[in-house]
Amino acid sequence: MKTRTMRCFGPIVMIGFSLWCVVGLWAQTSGTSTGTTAPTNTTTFTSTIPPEVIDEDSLFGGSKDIVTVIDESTASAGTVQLVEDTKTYPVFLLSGTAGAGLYGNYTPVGSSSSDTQALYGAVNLSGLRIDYLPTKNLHFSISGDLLTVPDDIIAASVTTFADLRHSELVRLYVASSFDYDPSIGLSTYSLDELFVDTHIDEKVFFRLGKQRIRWGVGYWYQPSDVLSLSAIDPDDPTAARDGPFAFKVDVPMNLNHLMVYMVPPVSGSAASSSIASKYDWIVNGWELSFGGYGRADMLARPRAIFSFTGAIGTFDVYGENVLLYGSDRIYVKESSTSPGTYETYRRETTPFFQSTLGIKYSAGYSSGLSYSFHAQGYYNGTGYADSSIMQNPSAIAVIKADYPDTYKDSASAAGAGMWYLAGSASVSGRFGEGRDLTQVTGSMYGMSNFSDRSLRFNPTLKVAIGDQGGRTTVTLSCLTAIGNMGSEYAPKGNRTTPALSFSALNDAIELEVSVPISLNTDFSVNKVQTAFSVFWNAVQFD
Amino acid sequence: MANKRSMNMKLLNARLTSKLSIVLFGLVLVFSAEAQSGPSRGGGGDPMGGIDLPPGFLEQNKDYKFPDDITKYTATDFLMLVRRTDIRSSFYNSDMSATISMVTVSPDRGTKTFKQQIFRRDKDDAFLMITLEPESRKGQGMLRVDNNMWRYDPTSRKFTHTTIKDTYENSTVTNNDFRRWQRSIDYSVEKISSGTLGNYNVIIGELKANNDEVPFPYIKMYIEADRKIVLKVEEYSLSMKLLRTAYYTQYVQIGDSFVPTVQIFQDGLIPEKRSQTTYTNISTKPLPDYYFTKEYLERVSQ
Repeated sequence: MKTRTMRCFGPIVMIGFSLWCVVGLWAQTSGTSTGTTAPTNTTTFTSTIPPEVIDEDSLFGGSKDIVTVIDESTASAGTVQLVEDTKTYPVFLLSGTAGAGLYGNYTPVGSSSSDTQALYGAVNLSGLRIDYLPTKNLHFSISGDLLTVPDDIIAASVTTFADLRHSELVRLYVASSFDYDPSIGLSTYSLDELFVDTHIDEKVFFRLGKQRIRWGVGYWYQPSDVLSLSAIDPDDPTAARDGPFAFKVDVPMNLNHLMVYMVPPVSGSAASSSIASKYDWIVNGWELSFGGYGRADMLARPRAIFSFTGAIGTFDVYGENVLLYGSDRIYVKESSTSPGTYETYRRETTPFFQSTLGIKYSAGYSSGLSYSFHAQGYYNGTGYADSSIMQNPSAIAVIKADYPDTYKDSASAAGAGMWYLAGSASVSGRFGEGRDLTQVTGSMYGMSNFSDRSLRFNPTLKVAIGDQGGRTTVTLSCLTAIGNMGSEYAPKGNRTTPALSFSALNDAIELEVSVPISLNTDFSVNKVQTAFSVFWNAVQFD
Repeated sequence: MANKRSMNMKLLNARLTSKLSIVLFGLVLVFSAEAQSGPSRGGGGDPMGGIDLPPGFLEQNKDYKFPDDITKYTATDFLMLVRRTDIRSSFYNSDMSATISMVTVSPDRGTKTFKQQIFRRDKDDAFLMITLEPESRKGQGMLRVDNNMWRYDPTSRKFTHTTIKDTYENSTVTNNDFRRWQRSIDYSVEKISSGTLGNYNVIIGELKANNDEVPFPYIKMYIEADRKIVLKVEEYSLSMKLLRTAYYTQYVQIGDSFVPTVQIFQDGLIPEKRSQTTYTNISTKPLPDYYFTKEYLERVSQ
């Protein structure tokens, strides 16, 4: 990954936008078309589009029999094409929306000179994506979001991938992304994945290169996910996470399978290589996983892993347990000989234990009522019983000074606690019918680090009218963080952000208003900001 | 002195990790060998612990004598008729694969098109579905074998559990619609009558669910009498509100199996909303065992 200061971004945006337009016109003159190939047997059938009016006499009253007999030997020798379904290449596809409207922000309470008070005309490109498939086995894709005002970029991100297949199971895959963060004026380029897939006789499978790896069955906490390089986003736990360069060997045995990952040296030293293995065993509806991890230079400590997922009655249950020989963490404490100063220490020969347990339940009824809840607790034996020390800049500075090359995960409040609890719940009801069909959903998620007494939760109320809210959708939410400045779940201190989003006419009209409110330690108001946008998404590629 | 001890420690650790690597490689080789001497390919592969059918489910129905007059059907006759349609919707002696296109028309959301590739091994209750279109969702998939079911998201490379009751892509189609039928196991007969549907004489049965795993507590089935195929199913809520009507307007017969290749679904709550699933590229060619693994799902995705 490489970062550099944002410069001369305007021309790039203009070129990019021009390309979107050109390719958009190209896309309208291209696309999939049908052919007449009939490999073994072709039967002329009706349209694949449902009839506008369903007339039972028409559906079952035709002169042609509704049953077509296909010879068994024909069906077992190859495929029988029942409708014309031959895709012709190259294929260009364009999807996403483009809209224009107003964007602004205002700080009514506690504003400073750095706070902008502005109202702009803005252009918003959302989920714009181009797919190009020159042949069946080659797929290139670029997608992006852009929010721009006349003289500035408010937000921009682009992701790309290329899936180049030699055959179904042999391929080269590359994915990268670009993000622009206006708050610090930096653009970030990232190579997300670059790997080769291959196999031996369809029995042993290999994935070689930089790849995303997701071990573990937990939702908010995954102590057994030892290979991912980035932490779980607490507000988006299922988001993709950065993975290492690794050689993966996978041996499926029906549903059971064995995986071995070999991570080559990450520095100049051969001792920085590591190896991890996991065996998934399916038994009586349960998936049991046994794994291990070791790194030659012991910077990351060896560990044994056991995880499980299954059901007890109508409850889904999962858990992960990790036993480590020593802790990866670089600890810091106040010096006993020199109060007010800090010193680091390691715990490399003590066994540690991490364990998480989760339970889920959901129910839905034909009346439209549905509800669910999900809870997960986590004991992190390698964490601090009182992790508030990670809110002290002097303590963090000592870690960085003593271990300039290896402090990365130890100088952050993320994952530094010992006791955690997270959960979510929702209840949804359906009312009315036809185009007035209304779905009302109340939900909330929250998580707490008891070791630094920080808390984050987000209650949400959503009202969707029409099919999937196609006529109107209104969502109210209030993401709230409570804790000291620098704590894990309230890094900016006490803060609450009421927000309203509104969409109508199949998302053609979108309005968003959010009001981040910073609170003092006594919960009095420190600062109130507002951000708002309203867009008419006049162009929707689908 | 401390440096020497540290060096020795590092050397020892490196040796330990090296030995661990050798052991793990050995395990890979052993398991590889086991995999290569595993079950033969295709429909002849060893069962993976498929769903337990009730005793005599297949045998009892094979020689069952149905009344010649459709007005003479009893509740038992009708349940055996439903069982016959269940059995005929399945491929117990071979694998099955097909491409399914699904077009949904919604008054609020417009027209959406999806395309899936499905693979079935009914004797093991094994089912794999991979999204082909739209391109933005290509590679998303679902694997079900017996009571184990996973959904795969290629973006995060994560497998998650899901339930068979899930609605497919916010359409009027549920995941259940892609599987073999087992209505004769999930429902009991409440009432029967007879009538016509277009050109066909049909026996009409009203059924009630005997478990809460099915998405619809009550259904009304219209079964064509001569060839014993389902033409229409109305699906109701607990309060007998019509939630969905399914029409099976085209079939292909391969051996003893009947595949409804054109299925039209009309939403009961939003009557203007309807979907059609259309099968093509059907094959009963034996499939490799590895198709019904999480690994295959991960490999064929983006």
